[in-house]
Amino acid sequence: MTPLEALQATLAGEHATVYVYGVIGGRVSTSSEPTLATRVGTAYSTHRGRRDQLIAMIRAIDEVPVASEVSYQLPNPTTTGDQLESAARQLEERCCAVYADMVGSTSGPNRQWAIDALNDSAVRLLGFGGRPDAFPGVPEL
Amino acid sequence: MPIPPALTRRTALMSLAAATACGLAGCTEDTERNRPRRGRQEQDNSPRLDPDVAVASLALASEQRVLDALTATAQRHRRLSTTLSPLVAAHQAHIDLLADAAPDGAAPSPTATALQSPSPAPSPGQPSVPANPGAALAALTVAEEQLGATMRRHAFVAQSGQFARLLAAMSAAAGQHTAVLTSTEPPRSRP
Repeated sequence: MTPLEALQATLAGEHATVYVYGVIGGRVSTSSEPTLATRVGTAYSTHRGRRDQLIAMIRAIDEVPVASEVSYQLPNPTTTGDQLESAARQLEERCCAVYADMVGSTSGPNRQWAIDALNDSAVRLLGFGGRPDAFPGVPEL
Repeated sequence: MPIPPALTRRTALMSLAAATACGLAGCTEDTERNRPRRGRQEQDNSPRLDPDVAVASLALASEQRVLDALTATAQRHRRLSTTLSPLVAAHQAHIDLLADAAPDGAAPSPTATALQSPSPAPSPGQPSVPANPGAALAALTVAEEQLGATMRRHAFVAQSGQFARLLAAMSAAAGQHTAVLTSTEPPRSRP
């Protein structure tokens, strides 16, 4: 994967993540699941910020950022609080894998960005019921 | 989104070995530029040492220190052992992988270790564990936090992208451990 392909793949993942967090955020009850609602809201803002950073990083090298799809498939049925939390956890797990791939395909500031994003998502998924993993973002180990 | 090819631990290590084989003069210039913290003197002392092998050796030493601290804490404070055992397993997995990447002769020099770690080098042998379980947890939290920062720096400077990916994952694991330890309530009664 070239550095540009890695940036574009990460941006494509971020588009999907922002979309799905938007759906999850609309379904979480702020009255019955206040903690989950807050965490989903924070995650949504974080990933939207990352999406915008990636767009700027790609434009900075005079390339055209990939556009968002019209809609995305949610990872699983998302109705109950547990299902919504599980969807958020799966999102962060996928993000970890995408960020880890980006670490391997970039260098300098872009690699640093991916390292920091991987660290953030690895901790964030614990807040959605995830368990610590020896190699977050590296599913083959 | 492109799906990365499935990798086994063995192929990951093989690609790491292939990447480190490039070593020597060709990579030295990049290393100098990318790693301002590593002095020229160290390069001159080990001209045949591949940059990523040196990174693996330093990372191995840092992981081993934290594993020793975790093990000693779990022994002294038995009530913490359930919390600590998955952390111990993760660091052991890191060490197994790094030990394969770092040949026996590539142990980091004391100077290199001192440059790498912001904290004073701990004395060899059994690490001291605070008698108070809360203090012991706090010490481990700091150790994991520092390890995470160290591994992030290693991931940044690694020449091999595949190795950088693994180091970044190890740094993220240390970040998770820091979060787990921060949210662990110390046992109230005697250890």
